[in-house]
Amino acid sequence: MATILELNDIAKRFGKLDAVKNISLEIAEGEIRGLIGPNGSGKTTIFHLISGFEKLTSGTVRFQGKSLKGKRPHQIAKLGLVRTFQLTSIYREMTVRENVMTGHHLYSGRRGASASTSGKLPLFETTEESAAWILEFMNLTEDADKLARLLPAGMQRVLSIATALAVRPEMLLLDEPLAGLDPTEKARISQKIKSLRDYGITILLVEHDVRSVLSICDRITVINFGQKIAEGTADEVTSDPEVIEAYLGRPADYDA
Amino acid sequence: MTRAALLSPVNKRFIKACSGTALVVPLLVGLPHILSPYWQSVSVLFAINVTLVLGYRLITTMGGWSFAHVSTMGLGAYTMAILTTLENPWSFWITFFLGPLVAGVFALLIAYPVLRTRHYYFFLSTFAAGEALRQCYVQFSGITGGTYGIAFVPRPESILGIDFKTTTGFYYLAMALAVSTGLALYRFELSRYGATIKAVAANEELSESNGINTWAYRTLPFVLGSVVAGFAGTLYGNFNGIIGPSDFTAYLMFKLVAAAIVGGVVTFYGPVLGLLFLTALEEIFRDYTDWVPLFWGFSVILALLFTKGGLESVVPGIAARVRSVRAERDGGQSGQKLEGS
Repeated sequence: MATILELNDIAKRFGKLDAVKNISLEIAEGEIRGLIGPNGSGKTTIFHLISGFEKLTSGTVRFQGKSLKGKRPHQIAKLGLVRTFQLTSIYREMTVRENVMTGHHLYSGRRGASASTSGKLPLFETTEESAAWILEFMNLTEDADKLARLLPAGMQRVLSIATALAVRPEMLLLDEPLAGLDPTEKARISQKIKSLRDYGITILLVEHDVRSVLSICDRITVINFGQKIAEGTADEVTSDPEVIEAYLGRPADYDA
Repeated sequence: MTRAALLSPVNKRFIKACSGTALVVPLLVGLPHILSPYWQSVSVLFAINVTLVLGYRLITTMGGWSFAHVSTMGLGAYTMAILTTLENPWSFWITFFLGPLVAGVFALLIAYPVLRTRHYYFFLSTFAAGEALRQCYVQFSGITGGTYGIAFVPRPESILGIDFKTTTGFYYLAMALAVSTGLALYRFELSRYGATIKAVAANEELSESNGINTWAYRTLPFVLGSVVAGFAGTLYGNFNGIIGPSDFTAYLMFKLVAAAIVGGVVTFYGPVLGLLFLTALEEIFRDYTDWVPLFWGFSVILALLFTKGGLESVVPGIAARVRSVRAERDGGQSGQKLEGS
């Protein structure tokens, strides 16, 4: 399958700290890829680097064959690569519907959609219809006219994904989409993420809940201290000694 | 445009605002005829300040409180004054549009460094930019007349039979500018652009990742607000007949900021209410001008302490109370009191 996103030897240095050290990654179109690693291992920095919120120290990022070098986040979004944020980011003083409507900034309906990204989700004549479809798809219709800040944290997370969908992504970067959700919500959102793949949207997600990651993702990349330490299917990754060491530590030497 | 689009909620609201304004127009037209010459001048300056504060409010919608607004207004005034006092003077009406253009270009030029800053830093950097500009008015004395400024600025040539050499005539000009600025900015704010500017102000990072060019949507209100200030400046300089660097000091700037705080900036009438309040204070204590800034300062503090968002936030509460009193009187012992928030 064609590669949609390609990271080639990317690195990011903050002063003396190597946040990301020469990571290479290829994600195939239509894949759900999990990115896991202990806290501080550089996952969110990789997201910032891909989406243009941080500048690369070295290396290249290619999306659909095009280099993203020097592109600003809104230009990258326009190419169809859209992200969500770790700390839920919504327009707090707008209603749920207005949030999703604002995500339609680039949207120009069925006729003009080809001007930027057409995305994989169904297109509609008007922004209102499109927003209604997304709200329904993400089970937000009931809350559509509530103020976003009044929703429970879990629903705010759902809303942030709905808003990202409104941008009509080819590929979604989800930064901890399941954090802070109860088990029922987790199951529901996991299901949604899988169904996004059925629409052909490629997904890269950072997540701490390893069990969910293992069940959602086709392939998993494990990083630690800014370096890639393993990559493969759930089974391959969980049996990798280096991964076990990163998460559980080195076995104690009882003989000493 | 189709008929359905004409009657969209946005256009309905705009038409409502227009018809509301139309009701007030006879009042505004009649006003100078019942005022003494002194109060006519006060009304002219008030109308110019309304224009100025409406432009200022537009800038605040992008989330930053500029302190360069009055200096930018000065660009409009100086452009007008320099060109209309040349040996071969330009028509006022050309400079009336050229002044705002110059102000807009200046805003665009300083937008790049200044809009990189946020919050207090934005306030400080615009203050610095504004003061630098004001110093230019002093230093480039060859064209600006230095600290003496430019005198004998001629009044606009009459059009449509209105003589702008009279205060009444000038009042119509200033009021027409204020009203059309208000309506134009109201329509702008209801538009998609206005909504996007507010979204960027509310959450810049998210807006950027939604594909919004946040840079452009922060620059746009800054430049447009400065253009409006330029319009106000041409009238201000022309009405006084003489302009100098002392016309564009922090004193007037503070009055604008105070009007925005005392009145609030969420609604359009907020800053206008604030301005009305401050102007009233100024006129009541006309014989104690040194004390006026002190009273303004107190009203800012009181507004911050006792209202949630200036006078505009008090109005709906009063309106609700009036309605509830009326309902109680009409409905007898309904007992359902609406709480004024």
